[in-house]
Amino acid sequence: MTRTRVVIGSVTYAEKGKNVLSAHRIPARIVRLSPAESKNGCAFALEIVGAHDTAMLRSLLQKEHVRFTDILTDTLPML
Amino acid sequence: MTRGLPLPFSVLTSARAIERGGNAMIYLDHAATSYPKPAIVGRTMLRTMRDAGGNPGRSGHMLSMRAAQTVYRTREDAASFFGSDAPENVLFYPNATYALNTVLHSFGRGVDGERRRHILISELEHNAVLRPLYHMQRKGEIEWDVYPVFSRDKDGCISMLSDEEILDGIRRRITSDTVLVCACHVSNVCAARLPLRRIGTLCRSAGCAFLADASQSAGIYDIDMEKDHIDYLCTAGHKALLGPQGSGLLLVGKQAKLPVSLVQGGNGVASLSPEMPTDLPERMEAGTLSTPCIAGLGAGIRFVSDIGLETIRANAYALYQRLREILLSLRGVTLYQSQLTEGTTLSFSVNQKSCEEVAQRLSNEGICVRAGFHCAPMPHRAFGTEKEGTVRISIGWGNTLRDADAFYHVLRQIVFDESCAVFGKFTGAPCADGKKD
Repeated sequence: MTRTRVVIGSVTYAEKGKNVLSAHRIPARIVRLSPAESKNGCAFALEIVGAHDTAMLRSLLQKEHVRFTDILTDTLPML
Repeated sequence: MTRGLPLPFSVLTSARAIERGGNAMIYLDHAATSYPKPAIVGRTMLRTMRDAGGNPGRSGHMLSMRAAQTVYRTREDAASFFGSDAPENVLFYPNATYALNTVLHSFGRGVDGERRRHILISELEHNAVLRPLYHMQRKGEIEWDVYPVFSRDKDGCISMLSDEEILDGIRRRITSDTVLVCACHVSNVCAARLPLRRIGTLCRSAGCAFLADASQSAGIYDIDMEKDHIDYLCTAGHKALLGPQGSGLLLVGKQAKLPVSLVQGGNGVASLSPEMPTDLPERMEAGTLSTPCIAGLGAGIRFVSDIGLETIRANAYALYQRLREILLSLRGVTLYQSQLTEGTTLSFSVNQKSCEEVAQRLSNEGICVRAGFHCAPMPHRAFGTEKEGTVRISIGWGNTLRDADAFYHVLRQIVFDESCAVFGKFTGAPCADGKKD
């Protein structure tokens, strides 16, 4: 299963980004990033299940002034 | 004197009846803090402590996430209420004083490389503005000046300058070194109100930042960050916004230079960095936020929005006019700024009685008012009350015309005692300011 994560420094922008995505019918949840993933310590991500057009996500979030640092896509191991 | 309530205040009336629960106390000290709070404010705070009791932005568990969601919802509600589309530019502080200090000290430190150091303030300002300015001037950080709001005629009567005269006073005092203009939107001593939008427009064209103190006006008057050209809006949350004590707001305009936090510390963001984050709001918020207070403030803002500012103002103005009539009708009573016919706050004094004594006697009869100088020395200097102070009555969402009538009966007794015991009879024609002696 593919997952997309938008890396966001603050929980405020994470909440804002979640609302923006929700308004575009993209369900997302806010999660904490692991220390290895958060470069400066303590960061959040908007986790979206499934493969998504990262360029579209980037454009959408930038348009709504949601500050993020990266968009990661990976594949979760099957249980 | 008792008349029916002007409609459409049925919402206010029923809410008030529930809140007061038959208590005979009459609260006319809303400029200090509003009372009672709508029941929904208390319920929301309790629910937040129970269901969203984690530390917002710190952890990934559900209580922390719910807390973060609660905080963000109030940011959204506050932004929308004040005409901003940037919830992230809404900052939470314990009170308006903290918010005002944050902005003023930012300019004292040369915010964003700013070299200009002259700050212009109105004659209405509270000590929340005056004291930091004195402090910063003593340290050589800034210079400041006051633009007038009142004028005094040859008979000593005080009147408010016209909007044009106030703007002209600002224009004449702006120098090439002026970096910030402050406007106390509504006085906490009397009903004086400044033309926020016109001052904002002037500041924008003059290249100065504009700081509005809306502590007495937020929740009563329409305020729009964009249309009023406000760079920094500071307000208490516990006054007419009906939030709990411990809540205050700073809204930063989208074009404003970013302020600098008075305190540094953790906030769950970039924990390995020795510096505060660069983006709002975490740039300015160090330490654990008071989620219950913020949730309560959000409930208060939504309550005010649901009733509508127009209804709130109409109720306040009806009461103000009744109270003004009462104070002007009693010989021996001096009403300050009596020419102002709309507002929420009135200041008066009773001949030969200290303001504290009058307030105490009103309190003995269950009427809560405030006496003294109200932390705002400049209006008192203008009124000539810098030695005695005044008695202040301030109206809120829960007051009715019956409260005004009850106030009249008690105050008449106080004045009557005074006139019998000391003078026998008061004489003297009122001047334009309502002074009779």
